[in-house]
Amino acid sequence: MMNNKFNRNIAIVLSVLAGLLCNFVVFTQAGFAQQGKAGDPTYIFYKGNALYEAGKYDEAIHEFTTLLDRGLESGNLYYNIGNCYFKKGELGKAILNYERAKRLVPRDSDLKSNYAFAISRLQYDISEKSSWMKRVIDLFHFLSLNEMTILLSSAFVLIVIFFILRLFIRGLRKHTFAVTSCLTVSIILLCIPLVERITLLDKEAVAISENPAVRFEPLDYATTHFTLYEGMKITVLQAKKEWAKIRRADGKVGWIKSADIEKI
Amino acid sequence: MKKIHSQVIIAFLLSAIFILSSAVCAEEIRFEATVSKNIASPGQSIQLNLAFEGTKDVAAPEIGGIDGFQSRYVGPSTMMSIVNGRMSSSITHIYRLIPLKTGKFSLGPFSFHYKGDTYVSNDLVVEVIDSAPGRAASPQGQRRQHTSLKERVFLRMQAGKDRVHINESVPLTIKLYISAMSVRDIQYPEFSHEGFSAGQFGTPKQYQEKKGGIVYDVVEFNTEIFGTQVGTFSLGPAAIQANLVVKRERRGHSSPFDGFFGRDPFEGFFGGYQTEPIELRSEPVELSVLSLPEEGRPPGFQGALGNFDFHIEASPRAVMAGDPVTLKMTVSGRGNFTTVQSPVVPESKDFKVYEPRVTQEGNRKIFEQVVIPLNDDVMEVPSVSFSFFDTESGEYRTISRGPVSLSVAKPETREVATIIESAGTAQRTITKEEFGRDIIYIKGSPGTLRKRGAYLHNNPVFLLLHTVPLLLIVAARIVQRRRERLSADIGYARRLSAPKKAGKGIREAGRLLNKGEPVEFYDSVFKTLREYIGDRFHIASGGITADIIDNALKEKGVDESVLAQLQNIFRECDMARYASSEHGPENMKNALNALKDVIDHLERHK
Repeated sequence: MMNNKFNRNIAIVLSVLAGLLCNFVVFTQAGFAQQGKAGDPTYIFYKGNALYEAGKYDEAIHEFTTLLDRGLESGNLYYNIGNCYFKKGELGKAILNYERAKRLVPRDSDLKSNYAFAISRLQYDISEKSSWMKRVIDLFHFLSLNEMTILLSSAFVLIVIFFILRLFIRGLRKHTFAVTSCLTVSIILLCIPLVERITLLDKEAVAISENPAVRFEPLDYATTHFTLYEGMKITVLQAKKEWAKIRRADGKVGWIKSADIEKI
Repeated sequence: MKKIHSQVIIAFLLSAIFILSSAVCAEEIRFEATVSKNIASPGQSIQLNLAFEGTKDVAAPEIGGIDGFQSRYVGPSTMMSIVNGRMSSSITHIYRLIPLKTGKFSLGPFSFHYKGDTYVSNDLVVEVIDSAPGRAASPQGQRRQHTSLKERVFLRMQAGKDRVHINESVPLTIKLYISAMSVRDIQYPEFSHEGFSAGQFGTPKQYQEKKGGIVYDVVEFNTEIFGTQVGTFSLGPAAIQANLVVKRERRGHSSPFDGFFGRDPFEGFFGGYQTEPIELRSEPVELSVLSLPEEGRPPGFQGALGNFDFHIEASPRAVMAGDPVTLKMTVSGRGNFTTVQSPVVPESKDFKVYEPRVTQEGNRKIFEQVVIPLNDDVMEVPSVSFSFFDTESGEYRTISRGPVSLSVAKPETREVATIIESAGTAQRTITKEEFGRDIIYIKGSPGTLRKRGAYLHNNPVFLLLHTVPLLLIVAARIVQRRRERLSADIGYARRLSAPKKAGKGIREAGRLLNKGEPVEFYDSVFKTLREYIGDRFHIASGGITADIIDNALKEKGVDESVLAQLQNIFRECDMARYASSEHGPENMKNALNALKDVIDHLERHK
């Protein structure tokens, strides 16, 4: 009896330790981010907001971009930059910044509304190629990349905790298959979109010129294959000097001048 | 209850039938004669259709003997259709005519009597020539065998005029000529018309036409165009997409079974044909668009072009002040009706004028304008003028109609009050709320500012921390295995506990040494050594003697010197228990040290 109680205590202590250690990282990350140059960046941000209110969108963008140049970013910062470009009539750059904001604050309702409004202004109708992979990725569209990473990490910690508890509490052994299967499926389901999103991290781009031509070859005199529209989201497959090989949502592939697009 | 329902339904159906039949009765009867082909050869039958639109109760008219033809009545074909709630019916009496000789023959006009009225059809011309159109057997057909595809299938575009005024409506005809070919899936033509506005094409006409000695099947498309800019413009070229029916195996140039547009009855059976897509292009047509002359332009001219007539009528003519009077203004004739604007009824202190309601029916455009006489002094609706540019004479014309006399009585007070009330109600009409759309305002705070591109998945600290749970699971496994062995392997448990217990015994012996109690001291040393040896080598402690130890420890490979030391300690303990006075503190200290050395040696040499 005494022995059992002791076992349970050991198990609980070990599990709590494991959980705490992993989650500690998350909090220290957030804490680290909040520190840094706390006063100065906030002042620049407010200055940008004041310029926006005065209708000086170019100057506001300049202020906001200063923060980006300092190596800082936030969902709200990208959102405000997007608004500045929208007001300036540069739909492509507005959508680009809303896309960047979506990576950080995907559940922000203002962002969702502005993004939808900007997209509704686009003058194209291209049917997107749908795949099972895309559907799985879309399942977690409401989570940011870091949130997905934490979720995956938590699933891993849970599986470890379960195995530790299983060593000391014999009653748990009969649930091994059910619990392990559930957690493994969760890990796989999380892993697929996470890997895909990490892969796309440096590949997604938005057309920022009005109607850039996409050619069959990376040459100025090559035949135009199709045309992009400002604000259209594309995937960069390869880069070669001032050219980039891209794929449109409908699967069409071609070469475009790198200056006509900007990575998200 | 059910009975009442069925009565209501029957009454509804009867009234519907009555309304429909009365509508039919009220409809005007139109009589038209058509032939299936207007060029034929002797012996080749032609179908004559006498169509009566607006009724289906007409008996087959007696067409009598037609010069050059043998005629036979085939039968009637009736049709009834309801379009937009309007029912129309028609009957077509079909006759078969067989040409007996060559020449140009006039058919009709045919006439018939119906309910006391006499109806007369249009007349038709049929040419009977020696060879049937499209037959390869004829000399013409043989000649066609050698003509190019361009001469057998081509497109012509013609405009009604080559010089038009701006906004003047001009008929545009596009004809597709086909000879000794089968063409199917003919699309509506497309043509570039920069500087012109073009209407939709109507239902194409199909007939035959002789051109350069060759008889062509013709598909004619008609529309109206009007110039929107001044200058000389090129219309077209017109293009038509179609499918050409060609033989898979070249057995000849045309089959005797080729029908009109390739409806060959044997094609499906033998599968000897295939279709080839073809695009036919016409020559472009040059058109000059002139501006309207400034000279003689009436002040009320609003841009109407054509040749029109204008009428007005007002109803009711006897009203009370404040009551609406509908002024129906009808512009009829030929021309571009899109340019016809509502004639202006001058607003005055006597009249309130509302926006007109516009309807167009064929060659008529009707403007129904509500005017309200505001007092009983009003005697008439003032005259209204309609100005247009007559494209035939090239001059401006103005038609004035009216004034239309009115009898306006003084309004009753109660009714005036009603008008005011209804006006107030109209103002309160709730319209559907429309929401504006724009982006949502900027964020007031910067949110969580973080290092750009700092993601957890590429943070080495975060990744490294995932080894901690793995290490914990390894540690947990070791602990669990040790506990399992301790509970299952007694020898292992005794061996593990031996040094701890020995340490305890040595401390106790040391305490007794300090107290100067030799008997208890040697007891403690003996007990400690015996228990240690028992636990260390898994021997029952109770049965330990110097011989047993000697044998057991020799097997375990313990040094002879250690064994000798052990024997000495045991001997000294035995002696001390019986003659304790001979053992002073110095001996006791040596015995304790010897014990410590032996245990230490055995612990180090496992």
